[in-house]
Amino acid sequence: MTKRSVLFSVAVLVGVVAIVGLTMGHSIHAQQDNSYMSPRTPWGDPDFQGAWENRTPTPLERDPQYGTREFLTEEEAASRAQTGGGLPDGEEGVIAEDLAAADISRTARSNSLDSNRPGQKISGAEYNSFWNAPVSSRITSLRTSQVVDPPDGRLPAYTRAALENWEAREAARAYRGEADTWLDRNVMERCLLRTGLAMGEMNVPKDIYQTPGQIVFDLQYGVVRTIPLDGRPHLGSAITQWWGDSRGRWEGDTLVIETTNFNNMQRGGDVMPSHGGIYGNNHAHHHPGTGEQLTMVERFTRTGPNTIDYSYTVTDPSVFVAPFTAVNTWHIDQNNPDVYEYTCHEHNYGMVGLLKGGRTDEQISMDEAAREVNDRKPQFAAEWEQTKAWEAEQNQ
Amino acid sequence: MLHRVTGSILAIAIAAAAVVVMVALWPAETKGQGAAYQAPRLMGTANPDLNGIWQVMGTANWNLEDHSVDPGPFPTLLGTWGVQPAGQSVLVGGGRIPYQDWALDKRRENLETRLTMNPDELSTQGDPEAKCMMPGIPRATYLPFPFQIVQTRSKILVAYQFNVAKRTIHMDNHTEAPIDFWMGWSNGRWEGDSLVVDVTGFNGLTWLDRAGNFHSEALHVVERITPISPHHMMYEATLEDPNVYTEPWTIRMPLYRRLEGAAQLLEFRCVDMVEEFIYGSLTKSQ
Repeated sequence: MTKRSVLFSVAVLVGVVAIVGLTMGHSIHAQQDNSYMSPRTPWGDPDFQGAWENRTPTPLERDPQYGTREFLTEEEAASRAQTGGGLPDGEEGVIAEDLAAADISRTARSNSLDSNRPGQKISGAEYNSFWNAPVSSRITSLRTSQVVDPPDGRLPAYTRAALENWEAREAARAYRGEADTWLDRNVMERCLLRTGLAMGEMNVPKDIYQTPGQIVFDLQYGVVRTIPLDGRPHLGSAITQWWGDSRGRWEGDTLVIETTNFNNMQRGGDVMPSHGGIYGNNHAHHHPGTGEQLTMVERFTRTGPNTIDYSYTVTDPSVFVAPFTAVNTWHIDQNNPDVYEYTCHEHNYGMVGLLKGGRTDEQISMDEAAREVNDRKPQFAAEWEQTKAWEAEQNQ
Repeated sequence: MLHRVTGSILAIAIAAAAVVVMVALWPAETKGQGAAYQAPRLMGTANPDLNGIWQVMGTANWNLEDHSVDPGPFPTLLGTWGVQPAGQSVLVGGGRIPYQDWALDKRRENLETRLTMNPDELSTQGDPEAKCMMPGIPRATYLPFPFQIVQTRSKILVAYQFNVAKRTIHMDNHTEAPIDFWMGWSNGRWEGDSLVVDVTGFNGLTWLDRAGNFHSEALHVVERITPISPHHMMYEATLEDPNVYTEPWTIRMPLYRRLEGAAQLLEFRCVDMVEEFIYGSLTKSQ
């Protein structure tokens, strides 16, 4: 397994959801190096082709102590790096030590409160904190959060509809086991979705291909996004898909992709799954809503030979009271020129095991009840004897 | 309007007839050289431009060999929807697959258990297509779904609609397969206007059709894709597998371009369509 595939950058990112905000025009542009002239394809489009990664030490949401401040000072960044904000730099051989260090700190953290799940401890999410382990310090950023809009760097509040929907899903969860059916497991465990909707949420290995009138993103986790740039309209609204329907256009040298037509399955169904959450649970990297009202706008601008500024704005009025926008820098992936085959469902013995475990739990419960019945039999028989003896006495 | 429609139908009919003739006349010994048609070049290269959305017509996915019409496994449930149409062998020369003796028995067993669902044999029993698993090569080509070729100079991505399968054809930096894959490991090169793809690194879990035709992990496929008109390419695949066959054998079929102006790959993420089929026996009894 490569370093990139192991050390998913989005560290603190946790939960994750496609984030949003049609209101770009944002500070990402202030950070852009507009003097860089993008290379061109033979037909004249800015050339984004290559293998990219988007590891980052920047959390999705901002620590409230920074208020509306988008960037750390160098001193703050140095301090953050020393206090666990990043792993030591190093070559491939250091990975094992990195992971061992991450394991130790994860254990230490597992009893602390999880900032993404108010009132709950991190304990239980250890496995996933491994996948989102703190990242190599080789990629640095002074950003205080990936979310740049709203200005406080925090996700907007949920709508009443979203919270009521959450309640309804919890109610549907009641009296169900952890694995009555596959519906009790989340979309990742079911091999339906592996990453969030936006490509910045998790460091998924990605290859970009371009041909005239088209750009294609090959994402390692079972997704190929073939995106027309020829001005054709979106699919009709009766056609919905897990990854929606994307259309791209050029605004100067910036590629803008708008995605609609998401299916109504993004949250996995009407039952709150075990290891599921409306948002902020590592085990469920998916949009908290149904997806039916979801629109995502992504923007890509090359800022140097090895970097792309990426932003994504997600608008879903059924889930968030406002759109929001997050930014993320993509880097040429020097070590991993290939995006490999990804299969999940093909070998999902995990689901087989979960369901068998559920059935085994039930059988244990049945067996235990039967054992108790059995244990009472001698006493029951003795009581009968006594009663019959008394009756016999009466009849004499 | 009527004239235009009639005209279009005529044009399509003529094109289709031309392809039928070309297929019929395609010399058995040809390796794709010498075809008269000159395809447009991929911008910035000297190679033919294969970009587009393509699809095979026919019934090869039911059975690569000659097969009669058959009611299919669930006629009382599906009526004609589930019927296997008759079809001719797609093997060059119309023959049969040169199986070793033991392998013929294995194929028969595959056919008999093609829709058997045993969760303990998740990826090792039954037709992988029915279970929404990666189709492998060459089957991905002739599934009844479109696929898209995304061609650049150094890499060619083939994205299949079925199960969002895909593979990368490496045009330079050829390397051995680093591990086994469902879709194999593809290295490509140009021979004239033919794209020749060498595919190895299979895991041996994929099938060749619904009739139980199969291969082992030793499968080596050489594909040859040659443009023969603006809207057609000839597809050939030679299969070599010393564990299963007595000699290499070749299939051949035309690829048709999807000409609808709005054509695009749509998702066929079938996982949630087969959960009941695969896991149904393991759910809580009511």
